[in-house]
Amino acid sequence: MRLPVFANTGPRDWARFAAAAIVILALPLVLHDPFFVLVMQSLAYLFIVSLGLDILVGWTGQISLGHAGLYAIGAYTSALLATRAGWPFWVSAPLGVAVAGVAGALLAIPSLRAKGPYLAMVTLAFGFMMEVTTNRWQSLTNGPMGVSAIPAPTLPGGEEMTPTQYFWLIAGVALLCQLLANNLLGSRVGRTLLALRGSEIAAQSVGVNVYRWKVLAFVISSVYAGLGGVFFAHQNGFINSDTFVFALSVSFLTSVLMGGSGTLYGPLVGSVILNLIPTVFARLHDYHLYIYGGIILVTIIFLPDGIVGSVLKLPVVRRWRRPPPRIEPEPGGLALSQAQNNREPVIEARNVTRDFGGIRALDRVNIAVQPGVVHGLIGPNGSGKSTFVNVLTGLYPPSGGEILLGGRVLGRVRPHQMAKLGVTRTFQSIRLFGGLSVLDHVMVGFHLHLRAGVWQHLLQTAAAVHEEEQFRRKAMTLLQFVGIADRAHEIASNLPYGQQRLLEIARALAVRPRLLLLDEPAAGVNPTEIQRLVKIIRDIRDAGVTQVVIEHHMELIMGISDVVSVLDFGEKIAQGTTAEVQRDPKVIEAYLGTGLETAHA
Amino acid sequence: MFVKIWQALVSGLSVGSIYALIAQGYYVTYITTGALNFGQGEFLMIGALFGVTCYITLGLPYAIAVVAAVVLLSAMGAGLERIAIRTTLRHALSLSWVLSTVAVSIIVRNAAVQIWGPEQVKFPSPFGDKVLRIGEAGIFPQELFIIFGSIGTVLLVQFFLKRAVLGKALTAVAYNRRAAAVMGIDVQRMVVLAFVLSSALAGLGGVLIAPITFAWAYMGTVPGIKAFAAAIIGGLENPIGILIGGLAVGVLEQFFGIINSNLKEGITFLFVLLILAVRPTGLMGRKEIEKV
Amino acid sequence: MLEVRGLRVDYGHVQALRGIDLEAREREITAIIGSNGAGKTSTLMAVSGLAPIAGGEVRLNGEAITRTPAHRVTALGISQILEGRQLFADQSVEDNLLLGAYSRLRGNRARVAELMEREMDRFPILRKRRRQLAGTLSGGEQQMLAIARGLMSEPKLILMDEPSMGLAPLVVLEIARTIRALRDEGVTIVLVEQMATVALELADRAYVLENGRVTLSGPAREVAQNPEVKRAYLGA
Repeated sequence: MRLPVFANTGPRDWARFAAAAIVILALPLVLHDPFFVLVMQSLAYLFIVSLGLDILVGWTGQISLGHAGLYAIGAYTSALLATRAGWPFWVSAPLGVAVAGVAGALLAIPSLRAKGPYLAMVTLAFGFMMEVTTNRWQSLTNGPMGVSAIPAPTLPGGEEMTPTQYFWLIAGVALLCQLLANNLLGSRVGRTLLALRGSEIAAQSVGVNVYRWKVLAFVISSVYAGLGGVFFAHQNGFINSDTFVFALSVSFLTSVLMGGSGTLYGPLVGSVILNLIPTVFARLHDYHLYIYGGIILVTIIFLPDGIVGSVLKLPVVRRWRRPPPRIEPEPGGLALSQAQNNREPVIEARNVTRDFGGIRALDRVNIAVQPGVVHGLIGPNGSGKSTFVNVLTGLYPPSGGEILLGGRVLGRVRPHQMAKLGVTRTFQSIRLFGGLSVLDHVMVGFHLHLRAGVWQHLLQTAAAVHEEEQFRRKAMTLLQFVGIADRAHEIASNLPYGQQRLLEIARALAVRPRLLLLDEPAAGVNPTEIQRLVKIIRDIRDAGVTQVVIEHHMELIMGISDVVSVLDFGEKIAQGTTAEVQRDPKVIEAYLGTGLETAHA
Repeated sequence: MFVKIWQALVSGLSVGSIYALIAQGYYVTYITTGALNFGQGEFLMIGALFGVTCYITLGLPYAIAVVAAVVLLSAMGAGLERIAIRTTLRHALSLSWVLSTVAVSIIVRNAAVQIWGPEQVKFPSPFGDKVLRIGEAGIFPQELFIIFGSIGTVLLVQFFLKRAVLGKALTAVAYNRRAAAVMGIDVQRMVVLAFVLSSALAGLGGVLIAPITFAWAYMGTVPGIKAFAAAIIGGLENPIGILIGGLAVGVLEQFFGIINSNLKEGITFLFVLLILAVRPTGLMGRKEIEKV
Repeated sequence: MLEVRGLRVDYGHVQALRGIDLEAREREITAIIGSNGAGKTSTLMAVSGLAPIAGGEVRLNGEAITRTPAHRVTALGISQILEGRQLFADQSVEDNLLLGAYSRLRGNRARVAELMEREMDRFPILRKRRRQLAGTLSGGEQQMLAIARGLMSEPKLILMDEPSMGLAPLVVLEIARTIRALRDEGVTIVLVEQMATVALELADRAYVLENGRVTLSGPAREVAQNPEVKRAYLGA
């Protein structure tokens, strides 16, 4: 039996959440101390913020040093609407959350392409800008004097909630937030975000629109932060600019890292511990910043995986976890390709040139790849082979010339759009998605074919869950095809090199490409695996997928190719059947090598 | 109006040259390690307060105070590298150093409060406070000293990196660690050197700026962050870009200060966000092409 | 001169070298050939202290130098010329040479100047370009600079990684000539090469690496005659 929503939440999970709900209900009744209830309220909303922050930090690998700014937006929006306009909590609160979400979307724009310290600067600048805004825009925020008399939420009858009732509200929402986060992060959404984090370029190659998914992560994270801010404002009754400072952003980030970023329950553990510390050390006022700084340092240096992350890594815990269920491959075999319906070249480069600075990596290259063939591409290291693949897959726009796909001239097409047009690839230096399992790699490969979107996964509708199951079976079929089905549940980066290459092929096949570009698939692969690789490439061709193969391994390339093109110094110097190319004097000179007798002179 | 603009330009340059000085420190460590000290502002503050101790409390000459601050901060830089950088650079979360340096800055600031107290201390300028006139605009001799001192130091650092053997080695490590190691250059030692240099610059910035502001435990955070913004605007791996970025931020703030003093505080941050949306590696930064 | 026993290198879970035995004799060119990813570069990097050694031993003239950090290896008289040249592109040709002598620079400026002259005699084009930034040189000039830089520390043993990469055939010949001349000067050379033909003609001894293991070794002439090698690497 399956519920129409939360279809993936099993009995154990329900039991766990029911237990949490009971604890939440019971806590303020058992420990009936006003101060304690207040602390518990704070813990609950600070937890919500941390949980949202972890979606950015742990899943997308973006750091945020400005979450206090988003928290402020939620708090001020709701507080001002409640006090100035007199709107009830139930209207002002959702608006506060929504405005924070919009701010998050805007904040995503400068974050999209920035990396490292530049990325840190984006959120830092935002945080400081909000700090200045709350402090200086006095006509709106009243600066350090603050906004006071923010009402507590009302019950349906019109009377204000008691602190205990308000705690129930916040903690209940926090519980729901965790449930929804589990849904999102345990599903396609979390998987796609992790893929982006692992390798943006590889994610694009299977059709993931990097920008859209990063914006999504920012919006979700901001919504959580705004929600926390709203609860804070209506708890305290008074907010001013002193709260929303850099130190608060740091504390959010610390709680995530302390609990364990990228773990489902790390934010919970981290925010509870970190926010209880000041209560414990309250008497050591002069030293509490030393302690605080020391805690951050110790966490960062000695617990890089956080508390939950470290516990999960313990061998005892790993053994205790349930083994993943066996997934049967889908019967009826393999659908590798999209229908091919014409005789035009699948892809054609016309006079394609590509410059890097002053260096011409490709010089007026003309290559047409005919449908259904294996097209070998050889040439010495540095002759422009990889650049050619990068141009064909939209990674580098050509500096001159044009690319035709199925006879149509392409404009500027980005890599994820190329995937949509049926062109995908593998990588010379293997690009896997960090800690994702082998199976999940292929699941990300199905990106363009999955129908269930963010909302369906947020609620885990029966349709979404069913789709995932169905595609997991398809993924197993593909893994079986490349011969690594028995390793489906392993972390992909733990596979030996050769199997990682095969996994890249399986991931690319999940796109169901018309054209598959293999960039040195045999590099680092042992002879037995090369035999398997040869068979796989032939099977893929027989299934109707056109392939371009870059290789140095002569035996392999001469054994599988129908046509071979030879590049040297960015120019195509020969093309023909394997026999023709091997006889070509230019090729022999440039690549296969002539004698060195002249060197004796 | 013209006088106001002229005055803003003059004051902007003096503040901006301090930003440029601090930002040069970001540059040196960024090119060698990819990391930078988020507590650079706190280091500047220590420089200023230690300057107070030397110059006022102990009555030493200003020049000695400057040297003493630079020496102290150099030592702190080496310590910072050991505690917060070497321990975190290999982590999976690539920006761990952000939090570890922030943590050090929290500790340093708390220590400063305990040693020097939370009050603002006046640091009288050794050059007196007689206003000099440049056209219609006034400038304190200290401000002039800051401009020349900072820009001179920035140029000196560049000279060091381009001409001295040690500087060349540091530049080599920055460009290609592996090749540098093969040349027999101790990469780890160069990283320490980079943090020493960077911290020394912050310390110098502190003793230079203290006479035109006040010295106190909370003086550093905002200039530290604004200098970071300046470096990002210019492009972290471009020293000239950083110098221009620093001066530009200083002047920009003063200009917006004419319009509205509240705008002055926020404009830098707004500006850096707009620039990053368009140019993700700053105005004069290297455009990265990821090798595939 | 150089002796490698049971050398293993792991990068995380990937085993790059699975136990390699290898020997480079004095005044000889020892070639290591094999496909991309076979472990050629890892072998050189393990010797020069750039790759993490998981097991085995490296000896130089009988003395164990396993896991000596890279910057100390240079001082022992080993110089590595890295794959892809790895010049300090934003520094001048002269500075690159100067940095090549970094390990013996202190208090010995005169010797360094002499060495610099010697290298510019070897590659006259470098004298012409001495003030130019290394990044502005052509591919062949860059490779010459890389070799010259590697010679500035007066090494007894040179580890060369793919000196032919991306070079025109004529330039490859010139580089090959240089390598041979160096051997005749008395330098021991370990040469990693993708162009097996060139490498086997130049070398005295050769090792074939596959998947992190040595699959064949012996005098270069014999290796070149091996039918497997001919088929896989010589394109015959």
